[in-house]
Amino acid sequence: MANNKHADIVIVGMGAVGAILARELAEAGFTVLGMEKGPYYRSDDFWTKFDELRYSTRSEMSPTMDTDPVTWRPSAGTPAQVLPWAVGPQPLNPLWMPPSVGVGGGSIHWAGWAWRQLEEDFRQRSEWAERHGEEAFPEGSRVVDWPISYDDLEPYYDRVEYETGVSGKAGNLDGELQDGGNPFEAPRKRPYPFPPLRPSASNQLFVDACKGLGYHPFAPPVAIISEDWGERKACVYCGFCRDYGCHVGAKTNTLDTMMPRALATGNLELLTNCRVQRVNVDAQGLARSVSYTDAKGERHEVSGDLVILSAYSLENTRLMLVSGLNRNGMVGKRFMIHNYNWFSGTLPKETHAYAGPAAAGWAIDDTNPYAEDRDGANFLGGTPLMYFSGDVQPIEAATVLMPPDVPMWGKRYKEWLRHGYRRLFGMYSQMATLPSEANFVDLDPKVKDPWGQPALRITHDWYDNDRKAALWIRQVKHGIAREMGAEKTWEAPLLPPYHVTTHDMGTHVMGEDPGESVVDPYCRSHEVPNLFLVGGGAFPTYNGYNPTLTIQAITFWVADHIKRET
Amino acid sequence: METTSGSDTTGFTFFFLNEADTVEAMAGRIVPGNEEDPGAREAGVVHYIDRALAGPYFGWQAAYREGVRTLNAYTTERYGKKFFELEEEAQDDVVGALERGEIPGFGEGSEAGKFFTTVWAHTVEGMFSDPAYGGNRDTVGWKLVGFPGAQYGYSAEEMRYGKDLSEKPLMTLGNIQKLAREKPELFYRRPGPDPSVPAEETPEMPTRPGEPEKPPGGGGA
Repeated sequence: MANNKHADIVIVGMGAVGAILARELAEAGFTVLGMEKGPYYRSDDFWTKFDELRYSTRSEMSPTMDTDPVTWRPSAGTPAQVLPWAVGPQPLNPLWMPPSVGVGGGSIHWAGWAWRQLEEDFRQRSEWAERHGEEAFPEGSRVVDWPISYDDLEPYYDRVEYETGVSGKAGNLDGELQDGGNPFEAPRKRPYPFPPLRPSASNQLFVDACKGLGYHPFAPPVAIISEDWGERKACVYCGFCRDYGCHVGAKTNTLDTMMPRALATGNLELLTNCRVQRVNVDAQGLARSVSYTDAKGERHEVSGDLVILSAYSLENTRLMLVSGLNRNGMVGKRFMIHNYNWFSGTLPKETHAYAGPAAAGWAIDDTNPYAEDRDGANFLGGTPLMYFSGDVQPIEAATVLMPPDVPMWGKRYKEWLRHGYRRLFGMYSQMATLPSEANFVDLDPKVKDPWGQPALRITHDWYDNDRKAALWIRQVKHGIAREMGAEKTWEAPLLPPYHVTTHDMGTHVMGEDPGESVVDPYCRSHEVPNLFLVGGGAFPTYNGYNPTLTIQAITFWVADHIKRET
Repeated sequence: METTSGSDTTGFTFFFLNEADTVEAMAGRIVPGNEEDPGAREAGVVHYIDRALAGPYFGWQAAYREGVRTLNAYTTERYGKKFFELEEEAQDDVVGALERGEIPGFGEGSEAGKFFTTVWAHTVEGMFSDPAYGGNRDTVGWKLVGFPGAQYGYSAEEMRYGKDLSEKPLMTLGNIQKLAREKPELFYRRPGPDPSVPAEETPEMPTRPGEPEKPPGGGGA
């Protein structure tokens, strides 16, 4: 236990959240130790990242089950196994793996959808109770209102968009609906800092079909800049985006947007390739230090007056449980994920689905939970529906995106690859699971990581509300595909075989009531007053939007609070 | 013995020769081809698999070794020949039976249990990954599906529905790396400070005593 460094603040995890905290707090004059289990990537590391096998199929930037095992079981009382969809020879979608490591974290290789939540999403229980009655909440569900509102976060959403770079078209400026934007979005104070990206080649067919059906298509917000900004260059539409670092700095990540200024303060010391394994709490019940293993395998301890966990919902939760911090039993509860409901098809002409970012495809939000006229919707929830016809490389197309009625080998397989990949398009959506008693995480009693720490165990299954939601959004996609003149369509199973999605929320939820939540509205632990847990783990309920922008807005909100109160 | 003037660099470093022939024949049934219309055999997929097994996929070595042996034992008993010596039609029958789990010896629990899936997945990887990995020779896989490869970017004119891009020159990792050397100004360089490089960048993973070596985990990596 050598080392014994001390700083005002120790931050565990330098990813999409921790890097923001490091910069904000270092610039405010605090000394900060930034702990990161992965490396510090150099900007020229991604100059020639055009390699599907390396970054997507083999998921080089995501941890594997060898170093970061996670187990899963459908329900309490059934045996758990190491994520069965994440081991084996078949090429996998890295979305079904735990997220990445390294300074910048998942923000280096995310797809970049940068949604704000709707105002109603912050008061989900009240909104749904008013619309559908109390009896609409399924047994065992725990839908609540958030302890913070859209108005609380609006200035922080704005900061993320303007300090990191988001492209998009405003739909609602201070209450005034804007032509061509999302008419359902919450009011924003100013437009996006960058205009929308160029959409994928076949995007206009989607847009026309949606308009023909009475929907309101728009260019969604994407954290990829569409015009040059300082050293960062505008997107060049290479199509190696989701799972890849960016070769021109167009994609927004916290390594580029936060680290240079954070390091320039001289207040931040980074400890990379160091795995934090425990939070040590003293007799007064305060977090005193964290224990970690360095690159040489040696154990150390560093101390801080404040400790912040920003290592992703699941890893934050594992650290809490391993450290014995779960007095009210709420740590690990309310695990929530997305059902992506992949939908694919072919069009009569070439779609060039390999070109451009996936997130540049347009979307509709008429399918959100609060929109009127949702014919046949008999479930709680909703999602934007996104056109997905860029950034699809051939190994993915030849494996996980294959139509189920085509043989997987032989002449017909080959003929399909020749015909289908050229004409491929997709749609996708994100129906969220409800917070419930049934879905949670805890420590696996048997499986350990190579350092001897217990693996996290996920207990999760899909339920009736998930099935109804998936069925409904599938029908919407079929309607659009018909209108587009699709040759052929097919879809992933209604209820997916995976139970982790890199959009894993909850497990250390925020709330005013210390008995029913883990952190307060500023992400401060109810149990340990100088410990903060920041990230998607704090979400008390979930919605259909990609969570990163909201997570980062909350991060700025927490940083301001710490600066004010400390 | 007659030798060619150049040295042939296509030798196998993991597979025994009959293993290479068996895996190559299987790959050739998964994506069939000929000289005019290349498939997995013409793409050199077996070389991709051999290299992967000698390197990052070392955890699958036993599955291949046992799988090939079991498969050839089956075809020898049934047809009197090794798998790669059979006519293509008979090979298809055997691969179909293998896929359906009808060949004895490929049961659950054995290293060869997922043999078909393993060879299939690695064949697809070898067909469509960058030629730098040893397969996708002359980018025949990318030409088959119409993928332009490692492109720096696409113009608005190129990103039009129905636009014929078949004349766009294919790029490999090697090609784009040449571009990066010659025109570094095209690429992004992060401003501001960079933390000093730690002496040791890669953490060592402690091994637990008595634990058997596992196959590589997620993503086949």
